[in-house]
Amino acid sequence: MNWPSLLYCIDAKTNYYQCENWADLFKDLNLHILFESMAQNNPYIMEVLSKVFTYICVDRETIYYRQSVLKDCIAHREILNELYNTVTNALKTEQNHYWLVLSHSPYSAAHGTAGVLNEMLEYLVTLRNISAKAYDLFESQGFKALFAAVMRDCNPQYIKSLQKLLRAVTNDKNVVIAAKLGPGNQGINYTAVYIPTRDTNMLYHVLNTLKHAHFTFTLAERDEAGARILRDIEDTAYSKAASTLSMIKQEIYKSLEQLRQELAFYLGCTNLYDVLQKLGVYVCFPSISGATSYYHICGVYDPCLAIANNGRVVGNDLDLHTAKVVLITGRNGGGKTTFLRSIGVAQLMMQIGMFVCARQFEGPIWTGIFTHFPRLEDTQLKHGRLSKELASIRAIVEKVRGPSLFLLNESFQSTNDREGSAIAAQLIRALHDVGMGVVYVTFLSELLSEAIKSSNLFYVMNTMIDEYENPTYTIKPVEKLYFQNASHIFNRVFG
Amino acid sequence: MGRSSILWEDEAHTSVLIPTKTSTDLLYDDLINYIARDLSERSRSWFYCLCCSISEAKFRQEVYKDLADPYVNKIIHKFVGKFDTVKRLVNLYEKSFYVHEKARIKVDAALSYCKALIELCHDLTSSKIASRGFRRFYGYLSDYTNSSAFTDMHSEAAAIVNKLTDIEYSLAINGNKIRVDTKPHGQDLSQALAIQFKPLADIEVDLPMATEIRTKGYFDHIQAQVIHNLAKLYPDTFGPLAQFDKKYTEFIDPVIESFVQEVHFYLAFMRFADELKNKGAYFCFPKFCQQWSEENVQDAYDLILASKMCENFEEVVANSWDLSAKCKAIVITGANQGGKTTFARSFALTHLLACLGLPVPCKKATIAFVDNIYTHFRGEEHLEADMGMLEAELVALKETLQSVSGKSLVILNEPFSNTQSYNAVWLSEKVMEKLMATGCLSIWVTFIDELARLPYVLSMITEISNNDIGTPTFRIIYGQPSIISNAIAIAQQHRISYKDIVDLLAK
Repeated sequence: MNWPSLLYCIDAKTNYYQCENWADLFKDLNLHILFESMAQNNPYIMEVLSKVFTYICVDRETIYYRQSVLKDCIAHREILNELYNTVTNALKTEQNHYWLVLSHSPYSAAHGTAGVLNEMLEYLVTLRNISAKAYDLFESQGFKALFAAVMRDCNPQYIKSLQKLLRAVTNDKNVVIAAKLGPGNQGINYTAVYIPTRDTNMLYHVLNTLKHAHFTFTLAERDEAGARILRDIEDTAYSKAASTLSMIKQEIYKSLEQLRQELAFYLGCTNLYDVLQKLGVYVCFPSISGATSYYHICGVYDPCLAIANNGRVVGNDLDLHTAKVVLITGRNGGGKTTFLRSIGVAQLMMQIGMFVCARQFEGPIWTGIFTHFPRLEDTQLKHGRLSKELASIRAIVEKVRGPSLFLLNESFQSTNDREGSAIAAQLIRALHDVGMGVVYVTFLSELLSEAIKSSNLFYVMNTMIDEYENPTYTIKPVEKLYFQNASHIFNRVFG
Repeated sequence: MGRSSILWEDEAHTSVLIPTKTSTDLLYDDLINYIARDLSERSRSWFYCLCCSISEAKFRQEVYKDLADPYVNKIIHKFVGKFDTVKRLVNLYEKSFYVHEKARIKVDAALSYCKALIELCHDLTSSKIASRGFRRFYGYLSDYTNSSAFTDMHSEAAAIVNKLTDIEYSLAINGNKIRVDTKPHGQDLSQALAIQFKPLADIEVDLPMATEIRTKGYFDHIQAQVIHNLAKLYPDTFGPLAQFDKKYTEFIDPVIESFVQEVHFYLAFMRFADELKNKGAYFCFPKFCQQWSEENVQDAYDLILASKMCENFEEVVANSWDLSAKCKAIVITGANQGGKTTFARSFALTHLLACLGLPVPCKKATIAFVDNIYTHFRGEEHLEADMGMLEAELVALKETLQSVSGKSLVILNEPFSNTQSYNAVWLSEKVMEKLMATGCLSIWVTFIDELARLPYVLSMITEISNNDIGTPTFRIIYGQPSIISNAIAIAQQHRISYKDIVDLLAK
């Protein structure tokens, strides 16, 4: 029962990278809001999401493979639910027999596990029937392959024959214990032996039993020690069968568990889709940029903000034809950090194989997505803050495994402008030169005034205001920057 | 028994016990607790019995060299392991009270015993054993294994075990009725399941599984009943089994038993030596001499220190000595924590091991054969000028002196250190006089540098390294005690030497 995965396509190498910085990413991008909308109070989905999200895809095949599976899910919600519920119930069968399965006695365990398997086989038949029904309705390569495999493995005739064998175990009818004599004349090699009933020739069976001598002895009444020893013999004899049954169960569970996890992930995606639809915001399936374009993004917004803000969001664009360091500046409350997050979340969702929150999204594949959002709580520790920050940057850089996207939010603000600019310039230049993507929200004026002069390397963006000087939450590329002059504040205070 | 011993050259051997005080003071007890941790009391006791002659010690050196041969070592280890199994079975036999079980244990034990001995004899034939000890034992062994008593027992046991092993039976448990029957015709349940389920769950079932019952180790009344019924099903097998038990009561030969204990003595030390060798340590077989003046030892290190410094054998300091100057005592003075006691201890241990016929922790050694080793180590108490303690110390010294001979080694560690120094000087000189009169060699670790200038005394001191702060190298070298140079070294260590102070204040 080796069923094809809905998450990893067979053709592509299963290329994915573990996010070693997952905890930071989760916190910095406010992903808990996203996950809550996806899980819809289902703790299992929540658990699966934190597993799936920590491994981002780094090949286009897998990303498109998942996208097409997700499209099927959005189109056939009811069948997705039906599949998920059947698999979930199949996995719950053990709970009905837990007292037998958890027993330390292999004899009882064998009986218990046979019972669990018998029940689980019923669900496999249900799963097979759903697959037969859905095969023609679904279009994705992933689902087609899965349904075909289920129909192949869960043939009703075959399932019936398995159930017959399992009943022989549970009813104790066709099993005897074989043994040999070991050192000290102790019984060894106790093995449960299955003797199939010869339905056609009962007479032969009877004759065979009568043919040779055998001896029977009876356990004395209230011989509890003796009864225990007999149980030990049975347990020993059944230990191999019990472990075989348990391995069979584990093997089937493994496939079902994998399927349940994958279905849970897509269930989560469809849940989010529904939530965003209700809020009236748009989504799109992203495409992976080719050689000519780098980033082409229209109307990207932060889904977490959309959820928290009841759908009121402003979309932003980013158009980059070559790799450049993106610097975002502007006054506080102008939407810089939101823009930074919206790019990060979209990039992450794309590399998980989901839709993204934008009208249009085309971008490259990164090996990792790293965030550096120096924490507010650090402000109290003025002394040694810079060294701590530099150490944290160092720690992040040490986690890099290949070309990655760096989302820096007000990094190096812990020192003066000049020092901060110099350090920042060295870092981002180095990152850029080794092929990393950098989006950096900063106030560092010396850095920004240098950057605005070298447009082949930097792409500077600023927050926009309307005619009443209120923020519009839009971010646009600029060619000139006007830095706030402090003289007016001085004048205001002293004037 | 001595006739085939690999430990004693002569049947009528005598041996000398090491005094308890010596083994405690030298930390030898700790060492043996480690080396002989798995040994029987008897094998262990041999570590405390010195050989009484040079020829005896050489006899053991030969055996040890044979055992160190990789091939011989391998076959002896193999044999010892098998013999342990036989002994375990014999123990089990004594404890069992079910006839069929008892009989089977005995036949199993006897068969393992015979097989192990035949194999050992065969293996020894193709080995290059050269020692008198091993050649003699091999002669005994081949006579024994070819005796008709031995070969008869072997073939009888083998036939019975073969028949028992071939028996296959089945049990059908139905409530409180148990049917005992011959071999069942069917398929292993686990296999039947694995095959049927293969298309759905392709698992690997060839796991080694416990097929012996969990309460194994004793035979119970249920098994007794099963075997009782099997005995009825297979009378031709169980009859000879019962006869075997009656016929062979004690089947282990006492010479073989003794051989195993003796070989454990060698193997235990060899295992310890190999552990150290793996960390870079070395051993050699000493040559023996009759006179102290012929003694010459190169690079002796302290075994106890070496076994504690697990990884860095490089850091273990080795010392050499040459007694050709005809001294009667060695006086060691110098810095505290400079390696004096360690030197004295390794000096004594080297002699001790040599006189056990074992290799010594040196590069090369010619060693005077001693009749015993006596120690006089300062206790931990520090009672200033307590006459009661001084008296006790002198009483102990007197007792020691009564046993000391011209072939004895005496180690004195900080004697009279709890006494005022003018007393200590006078007492030490007196004791020295008495010790020299016996002709023994005494080693003194002391702060009394007057002793180092006495006639017939070899003076040794702790070496100080050439660096500014003068740390000790833990090496003990020939030299006269120098109280002043020690003081300077200590001052430098604390940065209050003349030079330090001038440099600091001259600015």
